[in-house]
Amino acid sequence: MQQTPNSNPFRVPEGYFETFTPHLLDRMQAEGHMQPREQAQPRPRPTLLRRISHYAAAAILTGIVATTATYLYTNNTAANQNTDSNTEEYLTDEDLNTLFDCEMIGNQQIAYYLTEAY
Amino acid sequence: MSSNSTNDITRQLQDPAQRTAAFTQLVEQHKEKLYWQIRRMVLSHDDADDILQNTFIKAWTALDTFRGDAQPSSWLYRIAHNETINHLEQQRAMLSIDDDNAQALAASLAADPYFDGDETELQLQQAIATLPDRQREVFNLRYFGHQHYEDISQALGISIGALKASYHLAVHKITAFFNSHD
Repeated sequence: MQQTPNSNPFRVPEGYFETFTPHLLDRMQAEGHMQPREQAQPRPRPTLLRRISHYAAAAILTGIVATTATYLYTNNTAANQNTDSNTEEYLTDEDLNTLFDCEMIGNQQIAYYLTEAY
Repeated sequence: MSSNSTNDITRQLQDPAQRTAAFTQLVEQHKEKLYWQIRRMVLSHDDADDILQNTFIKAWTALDTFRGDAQPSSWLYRIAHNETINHLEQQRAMLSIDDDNAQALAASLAADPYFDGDETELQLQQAIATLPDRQREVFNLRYFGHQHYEDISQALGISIGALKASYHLAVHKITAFFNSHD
């Protein structure tokens, strides 16, 4: 056995190992074993709204509803016509739309917070 | 691979957010070694490529069962081993191959564009082809793969004593083959 070679007489096609991994991953995605790599990343949230937690957003919404209700209630008397225009300073309509679009707040949660607030 | 590295890769493989990246790293780290272990058993590059891909696909689908009890290399090798043996058994069943024809497969290496061996290397492959599958596997891992008995034992689930016995019997048979073909 000392005279028999233990070198490797087998060859591989050129570039085989270099391309093996991407080919394997492509096959796994094509056959449904793995999600496509471009969809593997989670959908990014807007940078500003990443800082708003779920409960903070709900609290803000509750505050808006309460403030708006108060505003609407007190707006009926002439003596209180100068209450607030602060609603728009909390969240703009665009911010609210984004919250809903990003599913950060669902209709059920809105209803919960509204009823709990009152 | 250190135990810390094993723990890291295991944790990453179990985390859905990191699983794909960890699996890709696993493939990159182990593909060549696994390929050559498979190739020496099946001889054909195309067959080895198929088995290697199937090995990693099986590993991906079985990730939930990998708890880091063994080294990733041993775990992967165990899957590759099963795939290789299944392939060889299916090949025999499909082509009605017996031991004599197994040697004919080795002889066909002379015409294989991905075999560069000289006459001695070809004869060695023919000698190895006379061994039973498991014994051939042990011989290849030890002789060509230079693996320690401890690592082979962990990969195949066979005791070190049985491995040593199997290897030395293989060497004896191969030596006898060369002597009878001089």
